[in-house]
Amino acid sequence: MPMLKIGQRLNTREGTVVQVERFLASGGQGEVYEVTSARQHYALKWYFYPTTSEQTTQLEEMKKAFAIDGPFSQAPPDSRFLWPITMVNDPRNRTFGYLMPLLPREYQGLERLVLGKMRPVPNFHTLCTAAIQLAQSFKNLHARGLCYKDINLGGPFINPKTGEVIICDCDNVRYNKTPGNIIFIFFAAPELIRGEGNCTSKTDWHSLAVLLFYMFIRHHPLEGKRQLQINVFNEVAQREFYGNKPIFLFDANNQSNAATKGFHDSAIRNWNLYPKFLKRLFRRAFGVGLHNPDERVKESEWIGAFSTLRDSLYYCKKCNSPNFYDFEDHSNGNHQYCWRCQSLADLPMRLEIGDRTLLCTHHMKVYAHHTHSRLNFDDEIARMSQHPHDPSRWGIKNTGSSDWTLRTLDGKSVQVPVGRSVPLKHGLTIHFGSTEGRLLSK
Amino acid sequence: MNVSDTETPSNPEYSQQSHSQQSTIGNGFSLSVQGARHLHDGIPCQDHSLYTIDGDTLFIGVADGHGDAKHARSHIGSRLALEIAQPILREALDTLTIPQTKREWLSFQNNIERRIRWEWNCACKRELELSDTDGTWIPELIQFGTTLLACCQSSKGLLCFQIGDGDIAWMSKDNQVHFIFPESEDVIGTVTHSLCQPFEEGVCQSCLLSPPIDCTMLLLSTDGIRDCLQGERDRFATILPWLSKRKEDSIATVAQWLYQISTHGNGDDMSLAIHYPSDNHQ
Repeated sequence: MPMLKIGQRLNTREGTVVQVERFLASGGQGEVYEVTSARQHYALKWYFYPTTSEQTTQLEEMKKAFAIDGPFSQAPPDSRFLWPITMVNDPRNRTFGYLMPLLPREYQGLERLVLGKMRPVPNFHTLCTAAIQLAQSFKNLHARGLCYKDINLGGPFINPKTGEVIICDCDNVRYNKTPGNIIFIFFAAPELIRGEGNCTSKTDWHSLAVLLFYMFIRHHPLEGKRQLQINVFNEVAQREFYGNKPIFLFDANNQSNAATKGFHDSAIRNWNLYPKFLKRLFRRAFGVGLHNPDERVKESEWIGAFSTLRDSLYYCKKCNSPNFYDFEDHSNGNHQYCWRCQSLADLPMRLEIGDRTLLCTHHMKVYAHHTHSRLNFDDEIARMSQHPHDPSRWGIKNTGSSDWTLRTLDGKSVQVPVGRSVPLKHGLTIHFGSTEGRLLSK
Repeated sequence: MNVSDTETPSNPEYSQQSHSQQSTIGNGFSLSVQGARHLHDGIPCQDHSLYTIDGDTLFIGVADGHGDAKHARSHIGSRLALEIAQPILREALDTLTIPQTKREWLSFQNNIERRIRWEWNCACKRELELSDTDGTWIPELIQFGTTLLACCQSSKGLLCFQIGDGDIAWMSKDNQVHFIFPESEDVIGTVTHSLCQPFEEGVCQSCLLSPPIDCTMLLLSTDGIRDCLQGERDRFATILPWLSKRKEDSIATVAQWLYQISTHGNGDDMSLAIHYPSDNHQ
C-alpha cells in the first residue's frame, strides 16, 4: 500500500503546500508520486520509514545533502539532471521527501534499451547523441566537484527518437570523497568494491564506461568466460570478478575471461561493428583504467569519440544496414565490408574539416565542435537538406549564424548566406569562417 | 527412504525409463515413455526424466530430445541435460541470497542458464570424443538438441528452470492448478528453444518460490502430453487433479496411459515427473 494518500497535503521546507495527485512508482529507497503545487506538476520522492539504525543514518545523510552547504542548495550543474528542488516535510517527522521536475513521458530508461524493449528502437545516430549527452551531463556535474555515486541503468532516461537525455535519481549526488559509498556491484569501480576509498568523479568514470559499454555492446564488460566456469554467481564471486580480479572480456592481452562463442555471441557481434578507435577507448577503460583511476577515460574523450562515431555512420547501399566506417582502414588502404550483407563499402560523399571526417548521410550535422569550438554541440553550423523541388538531391544547408564562402574546383568563389545550401559536389571547399571543409567523393 | 530406478521394456512393445523415491519430504516418480511414432520407426525414446531426493533436497526434471535427423543424438542430450542441471540447481539453491533488483535476478538467471549450457556443451563434446572439451559452442552440438525443465526444492524454497517448451505446474490444497511460467509468446508452432543453441538473453525462464508453498502436487511435463490435448493449457491442467486421485497407481499403469495418449495423439515420446510433498514439507 502506498505510504501517501491521494489528495494528502504536505508542506515543503519553505512552507509551500503540495498535494499528492497519484502514485507513480516504488524503488529501493522510497516511493515516487506526482504532486501539484501552485498549479504546477512535480514529482515527489518519499523515502521509506527507516527500520534499522543504518537506514536512519542514511536518511540523516540525505537530509544533510539538502542543507545550505549541501549539493542541492545550488542550481543543477546541467539541465539534464532532474535535480531536487526542495525538501518536503513529514508532519510526523518519521521521514521526508523532495520535489523534482516530472520526467517527460517520451523518455525511457536504459534498462529497456539493454533488454531490447525500448520502442521505438533508437538508431545508432540517436544512441551516439545519447552517449554524448550523458558524458556532457556528467562532465558538468564533475566540474562542480560532485559525483553521482551510483551511475547505473536505472538513472538515465533517453528520448528514443532524438537521443536527448534526462538523468533521474540525483539524490545520491555528493561532493567528491563524501563518506558513505553506494556499491551497485555491476557498475561500481573495483576499488570501491574492495573497500578502498570513497566515491569521486574517478569512480564515476568507471561506472560511466560500464554504462556506455552496456548501451553499445549490450553486455557487461567484465562478464566473460570465467563466469561460465563457476556454479554460483553469488556476492563472493561478484566481488572477485568486479572488484578483486576484474578482466575485460575483450582484453587484447589476457584471454582468461574472453568472450566465448555460443555464450557471448551478441556481444561479439556488436563489438565487431565499431571502429578501432572506440575499441581502444573501451580497452583502456577496462584495461589499465580498472587498476589506475587516473587512466580512466574522461567524459571529454567519450564526447569526442561518440561524435566521431556518429560522423562515421553510413548505410550500406545494398542492404541499407547501418555501418560505421573505420577511417583507419581507409588510410591503410584496407577495404571494409557491410557487417550484414558483406558488400564492399560504397561510401557517401564525405566532408573533411581539418582532421575530422563526416559522412554526408541524411542526418549528418556540423557543429561548432567540428569547426572552431571543441566539444560544443549546442551551436549547429550545418545540416543535410533536400532540394525543395527535387527531394532526391541533397545539399549541406547553412544553419549557423554567419555566411560561408564556397570555392569551386575552377577557383570561383560564391557566398552562401545563412539558410542556403551547398550542393554535394566533389572538390567543393566551404569556408566556415575560421576553418574550411572539403567535399570529397573518393 | 526407498529408491527405485528402472529402464526396462515393461511392456513388450515400447520402452520406458523411470525413477521413483520416497522419503520424509515426500514421494513421487519420473517417467519417460517411447512414443508410438518412434516405436514404429525404430527410434529410441528421445526423452529423459529424473526424480531424486538427497537429504532434504528434491530434484525433479524432464528433458525432451528433439528427435529428428538433425538431432540424431538428442536421446543422449536429454539425459545429459538432467545430469548436468541437478548439481548446478542444487548449489544455486543452497547458496542463493534473494536478488534485490530485477537486473540482479536476470543476472542470476542468466548465470544458471550459462552454467548449464557450458557443462552440457562439455559433456556432449566428451560424448563426441573431441579433443576440445571446453564449453565453447560448436555446430556439432545441434545433434544433441533437447529442452530442459527442472525444479530443485529444499527448505530454502523451490527453484524452477525451463528452457524450451513443456509445463511446470503445481496444485494447491484447494485443488487449483497453477503454472509456474506464463506461456511463451516467442515460440511458435513446433519451434522450441533448445540447449543446443547458442546462449541468448531472455530465452530461459526461472523463478524462486519462497516457502511455505501451499503445494500438494508438483508436475513437470514435456510438451508431448499437452500436444495430444490440442495444446490447450486449460485442458492440460485437468490432468493434475486426475493424476492426484490415482496416486496409488503403479508406474507401469501410468506408462500405459502415456503410451495410449501418444498413440491417439501425435505419437511423440511422453515424459512427466510428479512430486507429492509430505504434509509437513509443503
